[in-house]
Amino acid sequence: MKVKIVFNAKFKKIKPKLFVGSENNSFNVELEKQTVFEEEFDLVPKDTLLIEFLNKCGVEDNIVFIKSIEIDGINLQHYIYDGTFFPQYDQDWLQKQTVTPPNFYKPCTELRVKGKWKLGITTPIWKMIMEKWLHDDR
Amino acid sequence: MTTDKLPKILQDSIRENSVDIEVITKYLKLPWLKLDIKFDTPTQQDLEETFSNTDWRQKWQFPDHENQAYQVKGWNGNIFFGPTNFEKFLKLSASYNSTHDHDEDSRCRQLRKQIPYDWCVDDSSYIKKQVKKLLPSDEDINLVNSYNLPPGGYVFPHRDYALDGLGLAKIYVALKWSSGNVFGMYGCGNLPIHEGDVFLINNYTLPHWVYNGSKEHRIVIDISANLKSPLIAQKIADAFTKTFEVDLES
Repeated sequence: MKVKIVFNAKFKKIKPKLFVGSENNSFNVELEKQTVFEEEFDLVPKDTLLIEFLNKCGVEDNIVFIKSIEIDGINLQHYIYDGTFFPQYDQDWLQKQTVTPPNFYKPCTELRVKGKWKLGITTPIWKMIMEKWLHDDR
Repeated sequence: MTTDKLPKILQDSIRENSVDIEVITKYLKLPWLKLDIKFDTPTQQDLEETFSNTDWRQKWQFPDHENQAYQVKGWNGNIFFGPTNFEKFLKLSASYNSTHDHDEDSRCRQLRKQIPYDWCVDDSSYIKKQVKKLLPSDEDINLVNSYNLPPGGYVFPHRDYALDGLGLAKIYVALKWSSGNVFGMYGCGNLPIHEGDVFLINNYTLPHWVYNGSKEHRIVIDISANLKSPLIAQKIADAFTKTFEVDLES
C-alpha cells in the first residue's frame, strides 16, 4: 500500500534526518526544504505509522513539518491531527527546567525536538476514515 | 384483547402508544424515510432559479470554503427562505457555534425565533409555490435551499452536526436526479432516490457523500421545517407506519 508524506523542513546546514516506518517497514529519509516521501508499505490491519526525528540540532534549530499524509491514494486530511508526538528531551536541558514539559503533544505536526510521532492506522483506509467520522462527536 | 386486569402502566402503554414524531426524528436516528410527497414537475425555467452565481459555502462562511477544490467539486446552491439580515445571522450564529461547525439547517433552526426570516423570492417562484403547499405557514419554515451539483461534481464523505440532537431532519426533494447520481450513507448503502422523490434524511449520525455521475445537473431542494407542523407530521407518521408495517390496531 502506497504511503505518501509531504514534509517541509527548516534548517541552515543540518538537514533533518527521519526514520519513517510501520510494523513491517522502515525507511531512512533526509529532508530538503520540501520533500515528498513516497514508498510502498506492507501495512498490517492494525498498524502504526511512525516518524522519528533523529538529528535535532539545538544550535541551528532545524524543524520538521508534517504537511500531509496520503495512504492508499486517500488523503488523511485533518486526521493527521490524531497523531501524537512523544519528545525525547535533551537531558541537560530537561534538568534545567523549572516547569516539566509535556510527555507528549497532540495535535502536533511540527517536530521541534528529537522524538517519535505516531499515528494509529487501520486498513482499509476508506473505512478507517468513515469510522473516525462515525465516532467524531464534536 | 382484554387489558383491564393488567397493571395500569401496561394498560396505558398498550392503549395509548402511537407513532410519535419526536421519537422518530430525534431519538431513532434512522438514516432516511421516503415521504409520500410530490412536487409539480418543474419546467426548465423553474429550474433556472435554483442556480446561483455566488459561492454558497463562502456565503455561509464554512471554514473550508477556500479548499473546496479538494473536498467539494462543483457543489453550490441558492437560498429561497432564510434569515433576512444574513450578516447579523452569521454573526449571531458564530457566537453560538464557536467550537462547532453545525450545518446550515441546524443554524437556521437555532435562531429561528430570534431574528426575522422571510422569502428571498416573490410569489411567482416555483419553489415558493411548492413549499407553501406543504408548509402554508412561514412560521413552520426555517430554511429553503437548493443544492446544485454539475456532472462530475461531488462532496467528500463527511458528517454534519446539530445542537438540537435531531436525527431525521432534512426534507430532501430530488427535483432533478438523473441516473448515475449517488448519495451514499456509511453502512447503509446508497439512498434509493429517484427524480421527483421526497425524502426525510438524517445527515447528522452517519458519514455520507454525494457524486453526480450523470450527464445532467443534479438539483435538490433542502427544506428545514417544523416537523410537527400538521401536514409534515402526518406524512412522516404515514411513511414510518408504511415502512415498518406498524400495527396501531391494539
